[in-house]
Amino acid sequence: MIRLLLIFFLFLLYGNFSSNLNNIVLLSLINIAFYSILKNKNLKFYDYSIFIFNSFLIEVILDVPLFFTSVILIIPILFMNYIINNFSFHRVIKVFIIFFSSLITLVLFNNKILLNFNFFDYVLLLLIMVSIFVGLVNYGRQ
Amino acid sequence: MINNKKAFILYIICFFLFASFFIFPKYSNDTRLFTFYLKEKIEEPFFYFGQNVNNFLDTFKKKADLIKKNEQLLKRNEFLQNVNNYLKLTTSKYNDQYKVFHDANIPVPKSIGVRVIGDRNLTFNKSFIINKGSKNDIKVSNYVIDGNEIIGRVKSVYLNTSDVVTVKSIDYGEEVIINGQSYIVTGTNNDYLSFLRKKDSSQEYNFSKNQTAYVKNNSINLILGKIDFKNNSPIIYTKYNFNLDNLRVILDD
Repeated sequence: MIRLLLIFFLFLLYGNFSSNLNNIVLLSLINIAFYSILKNKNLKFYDYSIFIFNSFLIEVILDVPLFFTSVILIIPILFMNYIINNFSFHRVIKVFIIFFSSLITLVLFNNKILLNFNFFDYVLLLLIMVSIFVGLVNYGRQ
Repeated sequence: MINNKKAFILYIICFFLFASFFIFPKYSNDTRLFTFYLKEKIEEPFFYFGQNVNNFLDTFKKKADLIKKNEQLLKRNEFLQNVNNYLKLTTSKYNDQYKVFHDANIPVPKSIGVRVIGDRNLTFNKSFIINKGSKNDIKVSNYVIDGNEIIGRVKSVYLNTSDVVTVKSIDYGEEVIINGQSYIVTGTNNDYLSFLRKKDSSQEYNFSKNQTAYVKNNSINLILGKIDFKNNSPIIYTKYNFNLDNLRVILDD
């Protein structure tokens, strides 16, 4: 429910800020998508539904083919899930994997983000990492 | 990995949806535009609330800030008045002649004001969504302008929303007039348009820097950009940052 509300508000917020803040909003959406798939070894119906809803909104925002992520990109993410959850990684490492996978995805969409990167504009990213950690502590691998 | 029967059924449904949207892109576009329409409708109360808060906060602003804001508005007003005068001049130039032949004044093109929904920074793609659609007589290929400068053209239309491809986009193509001769140009996903080919292959490029490239739309000329040179090849420079606050769509008569 928390994720659904977050997705809803982040979608509404997207486009109403400066370029850097919009990127952070989009990164948060991508983070939620990765988190939904990677948090548990077995993919649950609820998590997959959230992933589909989230990726659909990202696809709408970025004008990429609809349901492409839910059908094609889910396969490498599931392999990633298999690797991460079969090795007993510490939660912090898992947080970094989820975070950097999301960051790489965002940069793949537009690599100019790296050229204009200003650390102080992206301090909010630390908040995303903390929220992933809290999520994994409470709802992670059971 | 997927031990859940329900999740697998959902995957199959998504697969068929993906295939349908891939085969019929029109439905994909319509779904996207409808989602933006919903976004706009849900945002409305938040905007109303935000505007009221801003107005309230404006009352606490310093006099210097208010004077600065006023100056900006006056500058914008002056720019729009100049554009209006230019449009009047271009239409009045041939008005008398037109009156003799047609017994009527030159028709001034109808236009409608629009607002951008979603991303206006053009970070990820060089297109944006506007809040008017086929209900407001907007059609595919209508020009979107700021003053008398072209910002883009309508790519797809839904009931209440439309997708606009900007002149910077690689999907944008246009016939421009420079020195009274026609040329074909295309967007490059950068801040300039490049010349694809001359409309008449016997023509030679004979441009000078800062010449204006026009697009003829019925009775008025819309400005696309200015001529510049890159690696000795002529290009048309557009603005680095578009002002997307006062956009209008020119409607067909």
